[in-house]
Amino acid sequence: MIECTLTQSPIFIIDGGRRHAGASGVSESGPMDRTAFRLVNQLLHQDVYTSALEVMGECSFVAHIPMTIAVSGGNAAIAVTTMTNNTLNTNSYKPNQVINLIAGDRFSIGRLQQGMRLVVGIAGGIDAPLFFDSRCGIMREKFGGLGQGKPILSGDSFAIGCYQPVGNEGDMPSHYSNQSSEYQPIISPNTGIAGVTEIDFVPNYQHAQFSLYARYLFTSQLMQVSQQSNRMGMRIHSSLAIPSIVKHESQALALGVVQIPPNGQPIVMGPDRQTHGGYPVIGTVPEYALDKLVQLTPNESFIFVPVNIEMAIAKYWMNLR
Amino acid sequence: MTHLVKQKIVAQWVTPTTLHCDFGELDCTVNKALLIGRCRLYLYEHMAIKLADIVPGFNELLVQFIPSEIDYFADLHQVERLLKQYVMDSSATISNNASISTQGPGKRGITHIPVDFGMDYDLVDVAQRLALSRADLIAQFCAIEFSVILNGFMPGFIYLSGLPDKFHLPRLATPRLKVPAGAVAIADAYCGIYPQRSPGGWHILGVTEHVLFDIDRSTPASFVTGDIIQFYPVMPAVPVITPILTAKIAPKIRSSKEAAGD
Repeated sequence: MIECTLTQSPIFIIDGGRRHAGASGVSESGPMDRTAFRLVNQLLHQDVYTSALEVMGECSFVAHIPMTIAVSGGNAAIAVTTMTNNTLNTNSYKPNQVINLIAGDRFSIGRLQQGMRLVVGIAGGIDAPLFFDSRCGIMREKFGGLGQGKPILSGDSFAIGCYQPVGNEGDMPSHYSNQSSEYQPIISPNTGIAGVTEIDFVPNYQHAQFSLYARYLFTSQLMQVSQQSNRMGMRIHSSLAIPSIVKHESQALALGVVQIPPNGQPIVMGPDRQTHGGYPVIGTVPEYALDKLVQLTPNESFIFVPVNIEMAIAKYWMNLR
Repeated sequence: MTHLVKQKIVAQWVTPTTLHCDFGELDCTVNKALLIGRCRLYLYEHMAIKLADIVPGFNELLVQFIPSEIDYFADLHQVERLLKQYVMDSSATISNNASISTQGPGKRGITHIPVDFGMDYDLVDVAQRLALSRADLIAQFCAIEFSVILNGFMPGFIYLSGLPDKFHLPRLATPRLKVPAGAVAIADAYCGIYPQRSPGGWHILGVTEHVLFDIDRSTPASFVTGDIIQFYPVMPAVPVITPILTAKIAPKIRSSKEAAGD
């Protein structure tokens, strides 16, 4: 059992996302930062789709049973307070480290110094009912998560699942030793000219129907992620509005499609997107680039860079390695 | 009948794990919904082990693969080949004039849905705009065989095609903040049913108690792409109790509630 004593923003239970749900009008859901999600589970030597927590701000937990955790995604101070011989000891950790907790340990995450969200992986994952093969929950859909689609808020307690390590059969998993290992992610955020983050996008859907001017504006100006972004969609602020086109029929939306509504401010659809949308789509942001986009703070500028699908596929598999 | 054969299906990778299969820009007819629904099941029959999801659209299928199972060129060609083959084979059976009643993906025939037209949302307004009496509007509306295009917008919200041209009305200028659960509504070329209370801008004709989505069922959504629906009018669910009856029944209800410890 793990208890969330205090959290600034709702904490979401995430996993690989729903399967075979789209035909029922049910959102796919899943992690915002898939690289970080995969990383915590790799650190914990378990299946890469094991459920974890997505945290957006300061929070603290009490572990009521011994457990092993790992944090990845952005950068924040992690502190673990242990009671030994009637004195409180606080140890600090960094992200991408494996942390062992004993029963009664208090574990807290400070304000994010870098990035927008963290993934907290727990050995064994979170024990919650499965809907469409997933433990994700969305409030508006009223199922999943801790129940009725609810995220974790201050005061909530939840159970953790059975730990099933992968690899190292017959050997003691390295993370059970007292020494904590540090892991360096392979792909670092690549920055282009003048330190501006480049976000890849693949032109498709209605891209050809947009005017040349609209396509030019989309890739030639600095943009920022708006504060109104959420798990449904990342709202993008572009100082010069992108002239949209008229499209009457709704269409099925893939993860990362970039919708251009009539106001000309793009929306990149996230994991909790609706299955269908009526705005015209200029292209899709592939998973590996979406992981970078969701970690951008509102005052960081980025630029959309068109890549072809072959390049996107190559980069996608490079990032998985 | 022939336009189905001429239809060009284009499959294309839109993300490293998603294949977008475009059925071409044709009007969304009854047959198209049925065709896309059947194509979806056909793909599942042949390559289910590779798939994470297939989302049907008005004009497309979005095929999501399990990353470890992808073989880019082979899968693209297989999906395209399967879809073309299926459309060719079925173009003779799914024609504009053929009876559609027994051709839903599950071959369930027509599902009849009760609708209470007595709630007076937009029924009078719509009847006026169509220059019909209320009774005529209900009779004509209940004679239509609707076809389920897809579940979308929210879990279990069904878009229905088959609305005749004369019923086409633009959406409400100001959307309602609260549309009741089960509202049967029309807008543009479509009819839809709201599974839960939500905001919405469609013209509400009546309310049904038919459950469209229940997460505790083995198949949460009641309908899939291609199913056939027909509405029939029913009396209001809660009968109007006259004052005399109320006086007689009310104390009994109260006493039985007290007895139950409520």
